[in-house]
Amino acid sequence: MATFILSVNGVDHTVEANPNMPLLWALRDLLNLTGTKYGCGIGMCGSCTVLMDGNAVRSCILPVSASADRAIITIEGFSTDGLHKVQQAWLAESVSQCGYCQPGKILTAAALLDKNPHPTTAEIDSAFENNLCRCGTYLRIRRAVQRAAEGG
Amino acid sequence: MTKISRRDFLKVSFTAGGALLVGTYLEACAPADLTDTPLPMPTGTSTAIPEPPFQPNLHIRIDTEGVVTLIIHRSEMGQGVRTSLAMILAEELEADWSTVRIEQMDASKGVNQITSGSGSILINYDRLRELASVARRILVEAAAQFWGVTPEECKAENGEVVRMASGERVGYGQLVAIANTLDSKPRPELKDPKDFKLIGTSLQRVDDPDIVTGRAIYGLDVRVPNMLYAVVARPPVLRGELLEYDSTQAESEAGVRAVVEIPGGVAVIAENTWAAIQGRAALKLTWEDGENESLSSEAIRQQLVDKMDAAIAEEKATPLKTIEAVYETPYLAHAAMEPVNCVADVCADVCELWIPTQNPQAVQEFVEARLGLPTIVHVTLLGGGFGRKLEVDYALEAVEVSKAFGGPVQVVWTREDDIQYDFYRQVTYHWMKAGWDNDGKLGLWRHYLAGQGISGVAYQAGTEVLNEDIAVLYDFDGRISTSYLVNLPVRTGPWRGVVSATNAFANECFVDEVAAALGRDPFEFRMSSLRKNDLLRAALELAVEKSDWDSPLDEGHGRGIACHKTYGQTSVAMVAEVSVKDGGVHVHKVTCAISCGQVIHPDMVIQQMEGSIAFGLTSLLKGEITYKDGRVQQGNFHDYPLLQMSEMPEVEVYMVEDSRPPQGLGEMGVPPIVPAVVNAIFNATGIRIRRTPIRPGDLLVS
Ligand code: FES
Ligand code: FES
Repeated sequence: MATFILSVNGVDHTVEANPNMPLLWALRDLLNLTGTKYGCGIGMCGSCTVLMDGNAVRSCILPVSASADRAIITIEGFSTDGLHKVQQAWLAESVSQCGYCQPGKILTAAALLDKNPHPTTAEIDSAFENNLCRCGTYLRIRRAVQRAAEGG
Repeated sequence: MTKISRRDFLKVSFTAGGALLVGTYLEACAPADLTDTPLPMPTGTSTAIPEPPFQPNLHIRIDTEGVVTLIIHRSEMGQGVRTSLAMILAEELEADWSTVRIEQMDASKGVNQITSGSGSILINYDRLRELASVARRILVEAAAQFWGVTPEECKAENGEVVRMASGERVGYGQLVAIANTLDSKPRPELKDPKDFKLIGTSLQRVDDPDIVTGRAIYGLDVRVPNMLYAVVARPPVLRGELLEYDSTQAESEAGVRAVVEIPGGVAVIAENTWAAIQGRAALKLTWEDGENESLSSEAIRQQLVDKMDAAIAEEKATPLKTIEAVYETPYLAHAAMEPVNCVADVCADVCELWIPTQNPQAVQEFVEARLGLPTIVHVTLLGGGFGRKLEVDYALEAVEVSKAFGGPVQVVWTREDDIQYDFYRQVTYHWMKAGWDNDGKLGLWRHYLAGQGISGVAYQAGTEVLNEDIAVLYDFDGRISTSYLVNLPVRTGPWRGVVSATNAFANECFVDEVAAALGRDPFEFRMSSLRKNDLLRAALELAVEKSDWDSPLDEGHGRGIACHKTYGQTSVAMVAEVSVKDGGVHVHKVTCAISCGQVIHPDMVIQQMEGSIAFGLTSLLKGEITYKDGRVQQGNFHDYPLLQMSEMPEVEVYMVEDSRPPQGLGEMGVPPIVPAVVNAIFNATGIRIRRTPIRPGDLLVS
């Protein structure tokens, strides 16, 4: 066990954890931020995606020890009012079915648009590789990303 | 002094400020400003004692502030049922949709809560309309009494009752006190569908704002005071048993609080999920593998083949020209993105569960029978269900862990647990034969199916389920469809589309084979053989028209068509366009036509078709569950992959004019998609796929 400072959604949290504990479980079980989801634990589905220093990362394969002193944003802190243009686009396109995978998808989209404000379809597909949705909302995710790119 | 017990605390935290109900408001629900129009109180009502809400039935509660709470008894797993059932209630109640709140019903003895068979709307449409319309009529009577007029002089509208002569309005909240004093039981008086304001529109789904902000609460997100986390080690070989275990090392893992033996395994209970998983990895376990220790997929298949060979041996010779083919499907896991899980708190006198379940009443019944304790079952959102969450195994297991440990625990299933201890879609082996005379008129059709019934614990089934939807839809002469049940130890359960998916694969692909053998166009052949089924014919015609069926195709492309009427309810036809290159198939576009009766929410029809297409394509293009030495060989998305975004075809959905009441939707797109694509592959390459999933090499032209 060791002590780490995790900066999550702009707030510093001190956590006691096994250094190998994936960030996912620290967020969910130690900090009670359950918006970040568990889907596979092996980096294959994207449900656990968070932003770290602006990049989309898979928190299930990222040890807490590598997450300390980095700026982590989870879905809960992504916007104060739920009105970020990506979230708005998600609502406008009615993307969600069960919704379980969507926090990870929204953060993946935000990181993509940050680096590439006008992605092509192929670029969207590649950003969402191994970003699985069992409900099959892929067409709408793609449309929502395009909508957000056009300004919402 | 009243002492607040932990259980009271839970109740408070889960109804007032609590996780489960938080954020179920449609919008930030600003209560109407009632302060400047003081409520006229009926005599005898004191302002000091709050008036209880008006609660005319299990589904509707209206408080004095005018907040209308609609209590939904079916499980939300992505199909949109919390929205569509609420729309039906709000429509007939004349509620103000912008202030409606949604609440999830606990397991209750009052109403059928099983979410299966795409039946939530079909079964509840009339019932909910009637209940809501009775409530509306009581509110109108209350308003009439309030004004001293007759009910005929008033009408309900958007959360208020209007006095028609004067235009005066009174909100539902202000009528609660009077409504509670009325003992009238008006008959339902349903709205004319042409006056519908909500039904038929694509409203924002009620859970959407919570989903995009991470506030939506699924089973894995439940947190109750003092809750610990557990994972369970289960026998690696199907139906094996624990011989002995050594937990010394597991117990020394940081964060591990206890290791307990339960029926069927060993649970590691810890302060967080990660510690529990680490603890489980450190257990030393010795299993008795039992009679399935050498079970393999090859041996299972051989049993199906033997059963079928015996059935075919009885076939008589025929003078007709015939063709035969065998179609096969494997075991498939549900693989919902949220693995199964359950929070259980077994106390001395009561048990309380929080669970993502499609079947809360079965959970309650089985747990009460197991424990002999009254059991409260709270239903969370489901991160996908697809039939897996009809079963009760994960509830019973969580209850055993909580009981053995003595406190509230969340039993987490890892992805590997979820895939390896599923109730799979059953294996099927279909023998098909068709025969025709010299004029090409069909006089013989055989569909013999060897397979396994559903072996689940709570979701009972057997041969009829194996048989359901096996009959081919076309009016061929000499049709015989029979199923032969093979007893196998593998756990099976309903999987989106159940046997309609496997039967439609065999039927619709073999119909295509017959059409090709007769030199007929697959669409025209279907239409000429479908005499009675008007809605299915209409769906086929619409899909063909919208897909431009006869237009020229690019080099290497092919088009295929298939249709199915699932559970006797909803007809869906699909045209798929594919291309095949270097042994791989790409599905470009699916044109879908559906006949599903009255449409409650048009966009949800499209969502369900998109979702079904992705689900079906995964079964055709991706993985399967296989056994070797009694063990499931797959465990996670690297060896049980799902469809990716780049593989998702363009989808167009068109609705057939259909005046029936609403029919099911959730599963209905799954049966036609696989045969439509398989038939398109044939059209592109001349290769017939008769076994799913497509394997490497299947599409290489030799
Ligand atoms: S849970 Fe992290 S990628 Fe699947
Ligand atoms: S919306 Fe259900 S898994 Fe993506």
